[in-house]
Amino acid sequence: MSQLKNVPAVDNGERQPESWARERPAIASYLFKGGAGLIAVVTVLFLVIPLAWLCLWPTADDLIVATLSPMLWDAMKISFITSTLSTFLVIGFGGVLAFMLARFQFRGKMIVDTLVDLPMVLPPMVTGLALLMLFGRNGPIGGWLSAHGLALPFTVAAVVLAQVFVSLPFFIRAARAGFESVDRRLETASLLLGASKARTFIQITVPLVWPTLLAGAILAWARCLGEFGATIVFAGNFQGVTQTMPLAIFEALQVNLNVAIALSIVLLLVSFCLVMLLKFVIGRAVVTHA
Amino acid sequence: MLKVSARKKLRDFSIDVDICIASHVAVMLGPSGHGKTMVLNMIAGITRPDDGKISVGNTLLFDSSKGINVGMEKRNIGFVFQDYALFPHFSVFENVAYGLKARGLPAAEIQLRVMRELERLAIANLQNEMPARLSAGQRQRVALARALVIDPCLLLMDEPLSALDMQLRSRVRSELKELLRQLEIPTIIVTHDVLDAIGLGGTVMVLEHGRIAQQGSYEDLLAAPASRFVAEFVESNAYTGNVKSIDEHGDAILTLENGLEISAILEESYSDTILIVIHPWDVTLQKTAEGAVRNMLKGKVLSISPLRDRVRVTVDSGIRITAEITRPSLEKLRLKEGDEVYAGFKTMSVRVFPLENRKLWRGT
Repeated sequence: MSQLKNVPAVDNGERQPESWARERPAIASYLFKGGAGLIAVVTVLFLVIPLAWLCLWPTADDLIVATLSPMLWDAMKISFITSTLSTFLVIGFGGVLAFMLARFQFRGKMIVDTLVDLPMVLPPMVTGLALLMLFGRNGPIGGWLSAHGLALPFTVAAVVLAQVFVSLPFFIRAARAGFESVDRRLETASLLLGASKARTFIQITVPLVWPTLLAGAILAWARCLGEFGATIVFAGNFQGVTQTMPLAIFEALQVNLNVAIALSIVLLLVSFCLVMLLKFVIGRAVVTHA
Repeated sequence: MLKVSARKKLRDFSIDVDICIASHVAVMLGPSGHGKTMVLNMIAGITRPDDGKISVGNTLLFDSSKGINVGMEKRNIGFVFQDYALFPHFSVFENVAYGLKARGLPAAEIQLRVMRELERLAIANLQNEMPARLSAGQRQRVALARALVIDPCLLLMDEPLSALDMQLRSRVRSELKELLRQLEIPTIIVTHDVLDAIGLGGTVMVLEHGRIAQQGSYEDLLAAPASRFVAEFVESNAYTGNVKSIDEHGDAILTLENGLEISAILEESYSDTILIVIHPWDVTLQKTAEGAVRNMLKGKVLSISPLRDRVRVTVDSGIRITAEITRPSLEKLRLKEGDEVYAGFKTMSVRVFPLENRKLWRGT
């Protein structure tokens, strides 16, 4: 057998770089790394210092007073209920659209794609105004609804509508990327093994995109929690009805700075936990797909 | 009995195949981009043919004239993908059990059949492993078990050996051959590697631009290749050329495409271009030009590659000529790539076929 293998000649002619050539890249590399490190530190500090300062500002008494205020608890309750409900609506409606965008070619797909991303760049106030004009008493849909004794604006339903509108693109983008990344041959393999299309979707497609869907849902949920502009225009700011956390902070800011700060800290903590959860979910997704 | 008659227009060429396979293995051989996988996909129902008819036994799977196109989930075909397409989120057991679960079988029967299949392929010990932790050879077995456990009426394998490294390949190939011999269902194995065609046995179909250029055993194809494409693909020495002169005894001088002249004995003369085939085992190698053979080409060794118990040595002597010699004779010659060598072959070993009318020959 040994004659069959063509043994490549060992190359001993490895050239040693000249001394100046060896050292110069090292200096440049240190400078580069040092510069990049400095910029990184400044960026992190820029993000952290304002928030840290905010957390250090109130005294313990302020925080206790704020925590006991009914305004905080009402706002937390409404924020939690509306954002969770909105997220489920986003998953249901956005999931179908994301699947279609990922899997089907149709006329005007580019336009649909752009429209879906629009709420991300639109100022939320504009969103709120648009919703108000459509669903308001004088709007085409709002007029019809009010003729049947229903009113959307300044209700908790309006809060949900506003949140769904602004958070849809976050979920659709993630879900679409997820559906696109699924190896189609796995679905074909499932069908060839005799599984129905529905079974294939539930047993193969969804488990494979699950981490991406979850990450998208968490992003959408976080966006709902922070939603302010569209809500205040379309749903108003009524404590116990439409007043979510950001709206409560806004109101508190005009009355009592300490309560506003305490509310902000709570929102900050919730957001931090959500983002951490997101990182964890994405990290697991990367591991399972590797 | 699988009967396929299918046509489909592709961007660069169109597929037009007629295949008939009883309960045995057929190897579909051809270079990539000649429609092999497409033929497999049409049989499996992944791709719809433009027109044609596909049936297995008495079951009609596709008939364009009757508007019948059975969905792939109802065809009951075992399919092994090129890189196996195992479900990454299921264990080995769950992967194999998937097809049975989809059929709604009771859990006890699923357990029994899956374990029987895993044991047949000697992977029962891997039942709880996830696919990502398996070697390529183990994955191939799991894919095979998953395809066979559903008792398919037909087994289709797309390049089942291409994901394996060379050493593993020949072992898996002979194991696969033994397994397929026991199965007794029509099987099509797609490959671009002639070694697979030789090693797996059975019928070989050479696919050229979406058409079956020739069909038969590997030996048939070597003995009488229908075209230069087939001859080269089954790794025989094939050249085009002309008859330069011929005397009354049939002693002839042939001119090859590059002007090289060789001696041959012909039964008749040909006025048109001919296909000249010299089988690798008819070519001898020696270090000097001495010897009784009339044709002696001096050249340099281009490559040396093992083939079963023998060795193939390709020599560049203006034309490329491959000799198949035994390992002892290679060791005696002490050949390595780049060495000068003489390739000799007898006039009787030069086989000549008219080129143009054979090219249209199609397998039955």
